[in-house]
Amino acid sequence: MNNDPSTLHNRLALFRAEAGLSRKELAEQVGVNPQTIGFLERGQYGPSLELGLKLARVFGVPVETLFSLEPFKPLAATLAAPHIMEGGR
Amino acid sequence: MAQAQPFTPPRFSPIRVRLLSGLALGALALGTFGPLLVPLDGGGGVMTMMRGLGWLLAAMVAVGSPGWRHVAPGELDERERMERERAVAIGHRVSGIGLALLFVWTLMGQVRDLWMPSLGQASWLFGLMFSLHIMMPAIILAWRTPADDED
Repeated sequence: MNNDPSTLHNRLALFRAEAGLSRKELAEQVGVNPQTIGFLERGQYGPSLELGLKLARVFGVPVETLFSLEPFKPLAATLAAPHIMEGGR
Repeated sequence: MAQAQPFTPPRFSPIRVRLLSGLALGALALGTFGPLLVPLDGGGGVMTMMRGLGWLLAAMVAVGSPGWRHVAPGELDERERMERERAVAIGHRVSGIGLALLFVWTLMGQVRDLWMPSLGQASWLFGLMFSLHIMMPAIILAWRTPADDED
């Protein structure tokens, strides 16, 4: 995908916590070392396209839900946005 | 007849690599530079044992970490492969610089009155250099792994 960590953002830790998976369990599912999950979550490593797709498949989401070239908005803001729009109508 | 299993090298944790390499560096520095800097008997038992211990620990570090040694296919994941390649490249460059400095030193020693090691001292220095060369990728890999991620 991109090995320059400064340009790639991800929500891996959020999805992993939501799924109730440990780093080791997630690592086993995608065939990497648990330390690599830590590097990914801290944004210190940009995965290959193959690993990105495998991670997205584990959580059942499109890869762009998990990784982005732009910083993700806070989840609260994302969740609140439709309500604000509805209230404005 | 049962087939012989291929040798599977151990995989030390980063903490163990840091510890062993630190001990190796200490023993090598003491056993190599000690007799060069202070009037110690470099061929004596204690200093020889120090260097021997350093070489042994360096060999353990080199075998117990996927740095300098051969890595079996599938042993490392994509991040580890990338980190290893980078560590080996850095180690290769640093060793190259060390060799170049030694080369320049010996060249200059032909025209100027510079300190030159005896044959025995030269063998210790080459032993130190080789030990550093085989440990360096492992040391870089071990210090690149944060403590909270260790197994």
